[in-house]
Amino acid sequence: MKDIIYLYDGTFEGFLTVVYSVFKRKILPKKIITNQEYHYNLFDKEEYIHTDFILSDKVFAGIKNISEHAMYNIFYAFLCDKNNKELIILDYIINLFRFKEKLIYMRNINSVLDVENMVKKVKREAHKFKGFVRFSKMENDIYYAKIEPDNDILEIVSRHFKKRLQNDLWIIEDAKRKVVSFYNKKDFVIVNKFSDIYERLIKTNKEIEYEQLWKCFFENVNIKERKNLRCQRNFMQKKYWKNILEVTK
Amino acid sequence: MEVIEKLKILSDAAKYDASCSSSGSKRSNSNGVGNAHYSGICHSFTEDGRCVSLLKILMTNYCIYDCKYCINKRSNIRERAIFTPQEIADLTINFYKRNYIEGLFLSSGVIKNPNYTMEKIIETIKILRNKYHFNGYIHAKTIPGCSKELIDILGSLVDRLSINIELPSNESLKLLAPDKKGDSIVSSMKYINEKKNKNKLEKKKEYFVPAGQSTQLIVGATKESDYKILTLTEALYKNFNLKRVYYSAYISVNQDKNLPMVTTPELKRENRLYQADWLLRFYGFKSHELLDEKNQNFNTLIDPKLDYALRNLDKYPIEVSKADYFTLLRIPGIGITSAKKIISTRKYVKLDYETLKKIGVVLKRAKYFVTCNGKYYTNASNYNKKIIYKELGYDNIKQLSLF
Ligand code: SF4
Repeated sequence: MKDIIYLYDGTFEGFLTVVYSVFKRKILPKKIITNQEYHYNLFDKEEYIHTDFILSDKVFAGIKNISEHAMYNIFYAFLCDKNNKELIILDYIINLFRFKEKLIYMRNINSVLDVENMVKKVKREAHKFKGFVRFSKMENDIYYAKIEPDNDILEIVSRHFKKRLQNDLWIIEDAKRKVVSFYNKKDFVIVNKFSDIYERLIKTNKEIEYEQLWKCFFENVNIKERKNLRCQRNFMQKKYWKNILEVTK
Repeated sequence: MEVIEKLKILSDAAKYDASCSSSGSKRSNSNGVGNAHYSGICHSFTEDGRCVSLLKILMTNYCIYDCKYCINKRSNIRERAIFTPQEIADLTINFYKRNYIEGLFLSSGVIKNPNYTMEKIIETIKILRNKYHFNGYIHAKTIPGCSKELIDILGSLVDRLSINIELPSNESLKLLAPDKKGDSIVSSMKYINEKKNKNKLEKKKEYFVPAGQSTQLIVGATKESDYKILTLTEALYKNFNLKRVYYSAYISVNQDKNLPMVTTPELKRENRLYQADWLLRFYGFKSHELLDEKNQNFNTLIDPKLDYALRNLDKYPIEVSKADYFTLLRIPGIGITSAKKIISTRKYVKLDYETLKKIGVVLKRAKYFVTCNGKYYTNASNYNKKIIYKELGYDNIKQLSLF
């Protein structure tokens, strides 16, 4: 019999629906992958699992019932850009039902360590981006920022700015995943990039003045006698620079 | 003068203050602008590798005082500027909304007199808090010698207050900053701390310096040893509950017969002090364990914890499957994360070196100082002072540090 590959839509609920199917059929898949990433071939047998909110809720509740901490880990790990994250998290969930809440500390199991590291990676990058996001104020008082993080942290970052800039309109675009977060002074929604409205946003002259002021501050607060570029790049990796105003050339 | 000109002068003049932290305050946003994130957020990093979190500026670099080590001292001829309170408030709020910064760090030279300067600082922060409803992080300097009433007002508006001691002894202070009295610095720290404690006791809910106080010490401008500096630090943490002591390696900005000429700052020494400071605050070390009358200065070649371990080999090896948290922290190479992981893992899993490695404990150094379930690390020989000294190159280090 050919190994089965489950395809899903890439959402967290979709993934939990796949988990439900695995438990129901008691067959471990060879791979779980989004249908966008999957290349059809002759050797594999694949099956698309439709996202079902009722089923995903069931799995969610089942996990949360055992351990809220584990649920939190699973949610964060899922945002990680790691290859094959789905199978790792699946293994974690299977073990969770076996070992219950103490699983989190059973670091001799590979998927436990992997999940822990994935969570750390996501949290670290999300924390960094709370600092690295740069908004430009556009006409009509809309603040717009573009980010290109390794992991899928737009929701975490949006939650942060929902609290911080609650009385302003803002848009954050994850240009890597082509998704956009819109905030309307009440709540944010994350949607696929559907048109180029944000390309049509216009920067004001006042905005360019503030950009210059910021760059001026950034230059002058530096102490030349203490130059340490390696240290700078350790904390703020070059891959992020193109969206960080003061260090883009 | 254009705002950008002022910003150039007054950010340049503020850069020698090492403090940048935006942590320790949980100010939530109730229908205004911004909030304070408890763990602090770095927004950028300058070429010197330092974090940029706050808009760090002076209100003015005019000063009636003449502290010898300071670039803004009265007798220096240089370009001077003054921001108006409104200008500072506008810069802050506009930088903040673009997420350039986490808040404001406002310091100032002394104009007219300490009280007048404080009043201007207060006016600025009042605009931010009351007019713009700004809930982001604000760190302000207390001006030495100002009235207690003004400290009360400023303390109720900001997250953190600091007053820089700068020179680690009264003699040095007298010599280089004759206008500043050590007593007035200490008394305002004491006042703030007592008021905080009183509020806590009486369970008052009012904001008063929620992120606490910090200070800065200049390293290398005067003759104080590391031991002297570290005991001062320890006393500040203990007596005034300071949140942070910053160290700033001295760089000559002025020529003076009482000051050394330093063109390359003693960064290594500064780094050792930060490491030791960390050991005091989070690892349960006491200053006299790290240095003493005989060893007054840190070894620049090895870090303070390894140095401690090598001088106290009789207290090792430490059994990782049993030792408590603070004992684990005494193992060179094991930090807070590793210690916590060891403790949470060993409850459920029997520890061996493989597992230690897997959970991310770095054994490169630690292996000489631990046993795991009674076993000394297999690749190393038995626990033996000579071998450890040799493997870690301590023999050479000891010889070197004699010079
Ligand atoms: S009071 Fe402050 S600004 Fe004035 S000279 Fe002394 S250190 Fe410099």
